[in-house]
Amino acid sequence: MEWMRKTFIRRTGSNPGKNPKDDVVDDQTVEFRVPYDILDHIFSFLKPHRRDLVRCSKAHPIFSQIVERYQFHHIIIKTGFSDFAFSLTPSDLLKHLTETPRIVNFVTILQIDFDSTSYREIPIEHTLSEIASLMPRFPLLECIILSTRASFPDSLNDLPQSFRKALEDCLRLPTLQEVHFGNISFRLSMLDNHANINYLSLSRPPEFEPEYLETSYPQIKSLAFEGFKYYHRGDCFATWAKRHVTQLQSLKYDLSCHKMISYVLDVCSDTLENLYICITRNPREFKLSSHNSLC
Amino acid sequence: MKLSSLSHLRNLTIHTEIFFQYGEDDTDSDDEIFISNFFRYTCKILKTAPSLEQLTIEVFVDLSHFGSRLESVDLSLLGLLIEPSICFHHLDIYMYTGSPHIPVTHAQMRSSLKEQEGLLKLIEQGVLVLHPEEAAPTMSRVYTLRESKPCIIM
Repeated sequence: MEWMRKTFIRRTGSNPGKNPKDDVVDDQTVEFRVPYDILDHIFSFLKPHRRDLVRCSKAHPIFSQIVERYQFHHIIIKTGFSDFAFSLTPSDLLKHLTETPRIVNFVTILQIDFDSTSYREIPIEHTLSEIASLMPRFPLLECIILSTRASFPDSLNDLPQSFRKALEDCLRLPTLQEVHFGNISFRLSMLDNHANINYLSLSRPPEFEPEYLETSYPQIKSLAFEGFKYYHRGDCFATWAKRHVTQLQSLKYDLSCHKMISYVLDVCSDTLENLYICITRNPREFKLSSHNSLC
Repeated sequence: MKLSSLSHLRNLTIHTEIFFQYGEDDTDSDDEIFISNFFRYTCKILKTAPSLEQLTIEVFVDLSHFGSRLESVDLSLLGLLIEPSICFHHLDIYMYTGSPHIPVTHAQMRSSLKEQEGLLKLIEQGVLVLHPEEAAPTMSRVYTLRESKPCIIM
């Protein structure tokens, strides 16, 4: 950014008597000679760095317009407390959408961060209904993330019908490719007939429904398991996945799944090209795993 | 864990996180054991893997614990990976803190290799590339947001 600021000042001609920062932030008459496409390309590299994008947007109105589509490409809606610094309440998001309706076309990742800690004390049905009313506004979603800080006490199936309907509608979007489920239970049949979804990540095994046990998912090319608990029946899921996820090219897992690793690798021994192993979020866990393996 | 059955495996990424745990006597021995175990474990996995086009090691260093020092990270055990039984065409090492105040630099990464000759030679040959304060590419094509990780209290 410092480089860009210097370039910007040099090209626009700074006044030696003024603070260089003043040239950038408050002079509406500056001549802007860096082509839009070049700036847009530069800002595109900041896509994963939300904090930097926010700083850029505050540096100059022109920057603000350019970074807008990167700043809003990933929106996080919270249902209560959230660890994510830039998460929004449904009413905050509604305010943004009302003030700047065009941002709906920039949103490609929609994350809903469930506050599992307050779920029992403060009902989130109303919040989820508000979120449900906002979800259809994003027509170009490529990725949906349902994140949880800890284990979510209920199945997705127990959440308000309006929310489930909105989620299912989002899954039908032709642009949608990736679905990330946190530690929240859901029915696997939600993924049926969505040929465009090629990446599924899970933090607990999904619910099986006998009537869908024969359904296969050749569209899933990437699968991630993270944060499974010892009581999750990961081996059952891996056995299921071996039969029904037939074209897996990429697999990610962490050592919380170490009891099912052999099952997991069997899932994809004929097709796997990319493997991503996480070792580990908790050093104690790693020590146990590594000692066991090294013995 | 054996990777030998994965005949089409081309790219392997191994991610780890370094936390600093100080004992009552303020030693960092737990951390040293952890990183040592990590590299030995990684080495053991790699010996079972087929020839890889791309090996990626990603290290997140958690500096949220009071007194944590980036300088104490020791990557010299990466030298264990230079064994005839471990085959890869290219090795990328990503190390990051996620903190804008204490970012990992190229000089620090190089210093953490502790002048391991084999590793330095790989850098000169372009086989090993260091990526300071960068996260490795993920499997996801669209989900790349990097947030500061919540502090984990040990």
